[in-house]
Amino acid sequence: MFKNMKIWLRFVLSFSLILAFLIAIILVSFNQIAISKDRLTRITKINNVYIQLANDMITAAKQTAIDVEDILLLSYQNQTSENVNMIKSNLTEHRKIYYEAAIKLEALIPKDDTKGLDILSQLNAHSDSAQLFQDKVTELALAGKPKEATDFMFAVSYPKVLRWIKTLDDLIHDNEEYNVSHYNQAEQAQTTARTWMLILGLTALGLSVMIAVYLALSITKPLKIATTLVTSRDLTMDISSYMKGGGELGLMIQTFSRDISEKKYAEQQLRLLSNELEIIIDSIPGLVFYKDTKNRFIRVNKYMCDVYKMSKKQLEGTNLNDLHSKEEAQAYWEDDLQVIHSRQSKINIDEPWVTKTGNRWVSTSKIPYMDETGEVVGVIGVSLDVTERKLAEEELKKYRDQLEDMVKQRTADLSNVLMEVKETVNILVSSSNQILAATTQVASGTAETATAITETTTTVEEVQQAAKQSAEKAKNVADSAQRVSQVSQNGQKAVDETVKGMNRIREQMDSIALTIVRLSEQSQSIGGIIASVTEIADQSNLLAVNAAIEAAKAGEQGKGFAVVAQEIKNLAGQSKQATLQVRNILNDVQKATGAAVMATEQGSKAVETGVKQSAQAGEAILLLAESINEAVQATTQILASSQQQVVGMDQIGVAMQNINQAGTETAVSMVQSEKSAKNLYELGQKLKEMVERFKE
Amino acid sequence: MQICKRNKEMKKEIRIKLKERAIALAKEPVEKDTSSANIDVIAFTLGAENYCIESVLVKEIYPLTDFTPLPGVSSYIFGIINVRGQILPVVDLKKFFNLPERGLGELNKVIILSNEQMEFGILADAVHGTQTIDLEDIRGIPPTVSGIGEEYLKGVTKESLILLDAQRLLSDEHIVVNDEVN
Repeated sequence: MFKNMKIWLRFVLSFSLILAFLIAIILVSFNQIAISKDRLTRITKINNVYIQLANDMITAAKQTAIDVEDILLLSYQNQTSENVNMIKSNLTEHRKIYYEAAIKLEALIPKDDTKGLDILSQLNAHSDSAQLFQDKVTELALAGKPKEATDFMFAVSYPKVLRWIKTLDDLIHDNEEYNVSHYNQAEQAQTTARTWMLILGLTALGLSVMIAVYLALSITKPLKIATTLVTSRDLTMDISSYMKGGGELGLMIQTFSRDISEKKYAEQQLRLLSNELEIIIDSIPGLVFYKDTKNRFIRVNKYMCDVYKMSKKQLEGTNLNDLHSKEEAQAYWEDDLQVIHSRQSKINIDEPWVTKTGNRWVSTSKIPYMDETGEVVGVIGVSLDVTERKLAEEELKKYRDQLEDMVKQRTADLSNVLMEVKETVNILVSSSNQILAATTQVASGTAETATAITETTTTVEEVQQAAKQSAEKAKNVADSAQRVSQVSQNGQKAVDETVKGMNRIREQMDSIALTIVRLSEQSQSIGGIIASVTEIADQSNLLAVNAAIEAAKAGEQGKGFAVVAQEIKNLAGQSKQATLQVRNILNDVQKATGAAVMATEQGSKAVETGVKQSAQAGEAILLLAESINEAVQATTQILASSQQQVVGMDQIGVAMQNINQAGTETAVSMVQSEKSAKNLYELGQKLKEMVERFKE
Repeated sequence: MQICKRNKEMKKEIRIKLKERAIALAKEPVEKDTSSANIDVIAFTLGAENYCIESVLVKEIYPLTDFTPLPGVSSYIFGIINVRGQILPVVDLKKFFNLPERGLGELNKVIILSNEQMEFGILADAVHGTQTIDLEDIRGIPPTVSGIGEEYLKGVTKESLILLDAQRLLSDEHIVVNDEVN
């Protein structure tokens, strides 16, 4: 299935397969080694610390027990409270150490270690109860009851403490177990890695060997086939599996097989050709030979073998000197040398040939044989037996000489008669010739005339058509001119109305302008009124102030009046405000009226321009109408003259047709007379020829 | 429609305004503390400051419609005016007190002061109206006040109104030119 694949593709595929296996080995081993490393790290970095902490805790717990006993001993001795306090502080210190270690240890316990967690919770319970009882012992001892404290300690506290320490031992033991399990896991991971590496490595090795063998075979096998094909030229070999597809070796085999088959075919053809040539040479009834430049026969035909009474093999390679006497051989060789040196063929040279049966004639051809470089390497000779022909020719010659003598005498007699006939015929020929020339000239003239008449007739018809069309066009133009005239009159009317309308617009614009000016004046007078109102408001304000003053002077009686005065003042202020607003509005109105005045002025200007332009348009349309009327008159005249032209052209057409008919008749009769003149001339010519023939 | 709406709105506005006024009028006058003395004053503006003067000595306020400047008198004599046939001098207190000058306008008024001996006008930049002030509210003159002779000031109210001593002005020798003319 890979036979058709390119070699480089095969290599790439094989090596990538092996590479994939190698990558798989690397990945698997890396993964497993990472697992085992993780486990070992755990054992060294965490679990060992864990055991250390547990040991510390045991030491601390034992120390607390010792401390309690110390206190008890001191209580027996009724020692000073200073010593007791020191030991008490020691106890607290040891407990503190214990708890610190416990906290660190709790953090280190792995979450998946359920047994460890279980033991830890037990340990906490035990430690709490043991410390509680220890405290009780201390309390009793300090209370001055050493006896009871001792009893209590041995009865209750001591077993609890022992239990506490044992739990700690359990914890260490558990952790050791945990360590062992981790170690086992690491070992297992390593074993797995080793196994996988072994399996994958062996597989990769086997695969690479297989691929190497396959690649070697897939390249060497076609190469061997190709070599065999070239050396043995055996086309019967089975190469069908290489005849398709694009592999390099396949292509090589295909090319080789094709070349070999072509070569074989060419050889066969050559052999056939050579055989054919031999048969052709052998079947020629004459001597055929091919000699080299040293006078040796290289090839001869069967006829030659028969003549020399030798087989072909004997004759080929034999020198001419060995076959003939010295003089003869020398003569032949000189003849051959001439051909060799001159490089020119000698064709059909008749020469006598002395045989044992008598003298014979042969017709010999000698051709120089040149190789591809153009150098003469031999002579090809062909000699045919022509003895019979030679004898017949000699006989024939004798008879012909006799006949010629007789003919000479007869001819002399005839010549005299013919001289007379010839003169007569010559006269006849020359006159018929003249007649023919004249007739031909007349005929050609007539034909030319006929052609000219036909052309003229055609032209006249075309002109007639054109005249008709122009008459029609002129009519159309006249009609449209009439319509244009109508339209221009309408336009004139419209323009008049426009001018009137524009004038009306101007009047209205004037009245608008007047109204707006009046409005502006009125708004000005409103401004005056506002000014006076403002003044009045001002004065009333002042009046109000004065009234207030008077009211103040009046004392109690004027109080009511003061309020009224204040009101009046307010009113004056409001009316002033109002006038201010009115003033603002009026300002706006005045601005607007100013703008309106400007606009109306512009409008009336525009209207005036419109009036002027419409008047100009009216004049232009009037001019247009006049010129259109002139155009209408001109077109009417054109129409009349073109109709007259049509009538005239019709008459010309009729006359031309008559001429054409007459010309045609003349041409026909001219052709007939030409034909008869030609016949006459030909007759003369024939006669002349006959006479000429007899003359000889 | 539009006009109708606008009319309605206007009517509404008028009604609101009338109501406001009614409420203002119906207000109980502020109970005055009878234990302390009150005085009525006229408030007015001089330059950038607000002054007031006792209304007992004010005869009337008169608009500055036209006046005649007097040649050959002190600069603080603004000129003379005609009040219903009576010719009165007008004093420009801004010049008198060396206050910054201000141009004349529509708002300028003349406050006419009078007592038994004297009658003249003082030029005010604007008159605001009458006011009642409690004598207890009047404080002494702050030391920052300068320029004006302290002898013409009675004090300053809570609202920074400077109370002028009208009696003092009326009997001042600097102002009283009447005698000399007579």
